[in-house]
Amino acid sequence: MSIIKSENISFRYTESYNNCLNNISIDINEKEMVALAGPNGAGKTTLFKIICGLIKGYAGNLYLYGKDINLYSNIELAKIISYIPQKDNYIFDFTVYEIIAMGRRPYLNSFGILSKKDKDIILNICDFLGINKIIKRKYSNLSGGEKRLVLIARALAQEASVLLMDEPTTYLDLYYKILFMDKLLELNKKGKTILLISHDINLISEYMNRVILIKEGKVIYDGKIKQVIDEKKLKEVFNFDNFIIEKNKVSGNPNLFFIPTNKTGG
Amino acid sequence: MRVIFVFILFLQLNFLYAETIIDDVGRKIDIKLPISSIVSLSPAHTEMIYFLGQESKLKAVSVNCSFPKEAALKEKAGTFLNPDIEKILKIKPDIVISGGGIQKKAIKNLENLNIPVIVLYPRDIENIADNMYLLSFITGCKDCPIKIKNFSTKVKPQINKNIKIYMEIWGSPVMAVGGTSFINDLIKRAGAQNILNDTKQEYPKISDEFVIKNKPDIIILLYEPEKNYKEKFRFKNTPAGKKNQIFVLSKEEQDVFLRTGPRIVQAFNKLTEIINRINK
Amino acid sequence: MKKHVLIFSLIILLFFAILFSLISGSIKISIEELLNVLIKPYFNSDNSLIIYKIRLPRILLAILVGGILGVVGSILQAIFKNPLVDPFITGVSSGAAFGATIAIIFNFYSLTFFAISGAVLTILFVYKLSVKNNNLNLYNLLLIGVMTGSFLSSLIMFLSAFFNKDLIKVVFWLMGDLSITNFTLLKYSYFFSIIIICLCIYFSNDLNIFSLDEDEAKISGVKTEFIKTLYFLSSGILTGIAVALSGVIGFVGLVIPHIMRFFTGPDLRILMPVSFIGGAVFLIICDTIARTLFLPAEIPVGIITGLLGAPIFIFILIRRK
Repeated sequence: MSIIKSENISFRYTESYNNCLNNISIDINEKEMVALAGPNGAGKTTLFKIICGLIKGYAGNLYLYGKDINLYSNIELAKIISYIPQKDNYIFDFTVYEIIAMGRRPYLNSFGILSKKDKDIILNICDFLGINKIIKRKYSNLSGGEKRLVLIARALAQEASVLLMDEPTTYLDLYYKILFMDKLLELNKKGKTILLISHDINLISEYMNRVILIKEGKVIYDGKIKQVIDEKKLKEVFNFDNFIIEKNKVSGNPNLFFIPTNKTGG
Repeated sequence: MRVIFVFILFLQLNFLYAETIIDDVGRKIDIKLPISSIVSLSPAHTEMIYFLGQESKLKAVSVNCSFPKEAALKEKAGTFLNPDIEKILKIKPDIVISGGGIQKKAIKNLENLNIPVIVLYPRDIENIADNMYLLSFITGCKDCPIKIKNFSTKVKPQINKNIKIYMEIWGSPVMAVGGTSFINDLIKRAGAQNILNDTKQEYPKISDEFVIKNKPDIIILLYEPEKNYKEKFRFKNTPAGKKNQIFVLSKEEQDVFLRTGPRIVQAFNKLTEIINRINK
Repeated sequence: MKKHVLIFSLIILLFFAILFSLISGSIKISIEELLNVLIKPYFNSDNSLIIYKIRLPRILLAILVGGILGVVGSILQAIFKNPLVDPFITGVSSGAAFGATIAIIFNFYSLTFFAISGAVLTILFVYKLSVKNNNLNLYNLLLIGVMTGSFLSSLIMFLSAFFNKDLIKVVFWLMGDLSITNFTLLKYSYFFSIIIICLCIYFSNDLNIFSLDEDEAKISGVKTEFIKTLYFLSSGILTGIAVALSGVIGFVGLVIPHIMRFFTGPDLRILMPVSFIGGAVFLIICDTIARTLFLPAEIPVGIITGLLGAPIFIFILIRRK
């Protein structure tokens, strides 16, 4: 079933002359794991903001579960779309538990009292992600990887159908990168739709099942991993030559290998 | 207003009766006369009370009421800027005299506590006499009107001798005596003309050029200026400067110019003395 | 620190602050005499007049103003995600001060009315200019608020300089004064303020979420436009009431939320009420000192809040390290 569908979405920021997005039409179904990739400034983050309901003045239509996004209330939207930001500039030092509890907002009254059910849900999520030990610590004191897990936990507390992520693994070390993506796979198996922006072609290749390549506000390619991740297509979208695509010997998925320029020594 | 007071004074009734007083800002106050206890928050009016010989009725004064010396021995009711409401409440005077202006909030507080306050704010010398008549009326003082008449004679307006005066009450920044200031009236009465007579402010900041353009014959400073004050542009290049007619008044002399009370006579005399000397 | 322990000890502190303030003043009243007055309120002695008509209203005003400044400080620091913000940054206090200045110079009867009007007009003005397409832009709000505040302050100084005989009246009003004997005014001020503050506390969890990131808050279901409008208008009206009643008393709104946050954490559901009580206690103590330290003169309370507040804050900061 179509969960997110955009029809000819075009958008221009008021300060610029050119369109940021040009007639973007994509259709994402339930339980897909989709990656959005493309050069910087291609419009990926803008598209995300539109899907999240943060940007309104665009041309075209956006449907969630077949219904126009403007017909949903704030709370209803929050039960469909959840978001994990790339960076956080949090001034106030809330604890991990308090931050995860914020994710329950769509189900609470304004004062935010948690019921037993809410508390159970939060604890289950912490179990699932393995962050029980750090629940009482201040969020600002955690490592990058731990913070990322807490933000996933918050998004999961929203119990939304879709998880949107903007370059979620950029600041993670190897351990947390893999841990993070493994958890995503698990969530996907449990029924969550995943849509993420990433620059890491290999990560996309190994974990996602569909990739959309965007360049200059237009969808250039959209399809399964093995079809889209090939040298010719990537070179066209990224305008960049120094790499080759080869089949991963273990997983069988296309992987990207850089060809260093002659300037640096071996 | 003055006519009504004088008329009632001639009746000279000696027993207590309620009266409605109208003060200098138009407020109506109902009090039983004659009064027997006063708190004065206005230094000028403290002086008036002593001048009229009614100081036995004065129960407390503000800290700023420095003259006469006996006033310092009276109970203190706060400062001019911050009257002590608690103390006044404890004393429960028949009337409180306020100089208005910055005491407005204190006045409101006192009114809320049902303590009668009259605001007296003499704007010129005639008002000083009016205030004193009012005070003598409410204290039931029989021999006061004579004293006040005597006072009025001493500050009788003199003929205009066409002499131009410029006065400053402060030098940095320059605060000159303006057209609506009390001292302006003093100058007029003394027979001279304030070069700032037409300004609408009390103590405006004046430019050097204005002073020079208006050629004052006499300059009087009501403060202690810096050492080379005579070199100042606005002093040097005036007839006053050239003929050495710049007067710096001593602290005591300054006080009598700035207090709108009975000692204004001394200020008046000083002015007329300076003016007559130059007239020769 | 356990939340219950904190609130309890603050209330005890408030009680003692009130007691301290009731026995202090230019007329000496001992604790015995005070108890006498409190037990027999109908008995019309000198002391009872002083306690009930002078000191108690003053203390009640200090609680209201100190409390408002504390709460508004915590709100604005959350909204602007900036711990250096104080209640006067929105320009409201300058608006109230401007209204008061006009009333002082042109000798209008009700200064409070003019001050409130000035505050309200300023809030509406700043709000109108910061809203675009139904979206309240916080960045613009801050800029326009600061600019408007500066402009009005300059206007105040201009008027004071021009009508310089009123200069000292304006300056003294600005420096803050908690004396009040008008019970009706106090009653109405309490009534409106408490309603607004309760509203603010009710939605404070949304403000918690908002204080991390506006976009993320919106995605998790917070009505961000409503929250921004509610808290901006609330803090404007509350600050306007405080300034209209007592002049500009600085430092309370900046420092109290900070200090309280050390003990309660950033959760506004508890930080707001605690900031109210903390602000109230602080202002009562400062006011008592201001009016007794240099008798018979009375120092403007705004000076004491600055002189006391800064060292306390630095002390807590150092101890925390």
